[in-house]
Amino acid sequence: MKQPVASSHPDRPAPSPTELPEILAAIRRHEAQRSSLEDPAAAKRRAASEMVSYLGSEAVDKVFQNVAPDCGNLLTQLHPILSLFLGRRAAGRLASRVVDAAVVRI
Amino acid sequence: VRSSFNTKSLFRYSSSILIVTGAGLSAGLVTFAAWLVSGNVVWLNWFFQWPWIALMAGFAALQSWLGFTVRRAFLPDEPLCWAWTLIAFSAACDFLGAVCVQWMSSGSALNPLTHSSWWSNELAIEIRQFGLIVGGTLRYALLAVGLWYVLRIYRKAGFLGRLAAIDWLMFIIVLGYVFNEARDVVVAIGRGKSPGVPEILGWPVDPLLCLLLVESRLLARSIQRMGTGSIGRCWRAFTIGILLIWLGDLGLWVAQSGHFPWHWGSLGWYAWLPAAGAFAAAPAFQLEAVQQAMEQRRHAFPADAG
Repeated sequence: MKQPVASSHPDRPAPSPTELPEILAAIRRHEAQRSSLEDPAAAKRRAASEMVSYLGSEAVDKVFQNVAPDCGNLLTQLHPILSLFLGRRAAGRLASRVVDAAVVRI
Repeated sequence: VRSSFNTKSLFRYSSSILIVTGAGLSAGLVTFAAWLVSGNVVWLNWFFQWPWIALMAGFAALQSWLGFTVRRAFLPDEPLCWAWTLIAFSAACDFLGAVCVQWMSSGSALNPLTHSSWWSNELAIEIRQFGLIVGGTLRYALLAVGLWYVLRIYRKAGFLGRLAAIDWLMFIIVLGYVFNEARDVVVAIGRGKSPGVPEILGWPVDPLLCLLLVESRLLARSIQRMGTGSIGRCWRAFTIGILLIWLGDLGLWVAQSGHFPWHWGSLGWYAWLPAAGAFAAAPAFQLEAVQQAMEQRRHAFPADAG
């Protein structure tokens, strides 16, 4: 099995491959937290831009009018309309993925 | 924002259908030009006896299969499940009609029925009439109800559009066509014509196409209200298909009116090929939108990968 690359700090061992995804996720969470403090509406914009390719820009504008800046109610606003056109199964997957991608679970 | 969705891995039925439609239409127009230049009708015969039949029946079969596939993406209590069920059965009727009209009622050696002892011209006429009813009245009735369900969904979502002036103009033109056809029937009956049951069952085709035109224009306006997205692409394909069917019908009407050389009016036949392609592409677009939504995220948040 291939060993991880040695750390530049000899007293600190290199992270194992199984730890790397967790570290990357932690970095992403930290970045998201920082950006949400700088720009509270950033998450809403990210979620909206994810949805344009499905619903269209005018529909996204209308649906996201009722979404809170922190996207607290994103799922409840998004899921019903996606369910109508894509079905509940696909809508559930897509909505939760958009929340993941744009809002980031903290 | 980086998109977290990747559709490149999906097999694009819609692209394949559009490519085949383009190739078929090009072949048709080349044979039409060859007929005009040479005056030899063998060019037209070849196209309408082989590629035309294969493409029209193939597209109908594909639309039906994709329609039933899309239907499974929805739960039984979802409105689009009903819509796709009706649309898929409508496509199955189209396929059955094409098989009956183009193949099983023809005198071609490729028709297996011609080799049987009970084959007769009367039987061929009956099969053809059955095919016209199933592939005409029944097909369009199912499609009209299916698209009505879709319009209800757009209304529920708050995006139902309104007919524009150009839509009303189109509606008036096709209404004129339908009234003209009805008048011809009334005149014929007045002169002693006694229509049979199969002919009467075929009468609703034009009014149904008229209804489908209105539905398709409402759909087009609703799609416009939402903006360009993968969800609207599917329903837009239906609006294009219905418009092309009307273009073909009106082309033949103009040709029969005698105001234009008939061979130019016969170009209307070719509109039905891209119409069939658009109908086949519609469920493919819906399937791709659903698959795109269901697809596993490939990057972003590796911690969620497991």
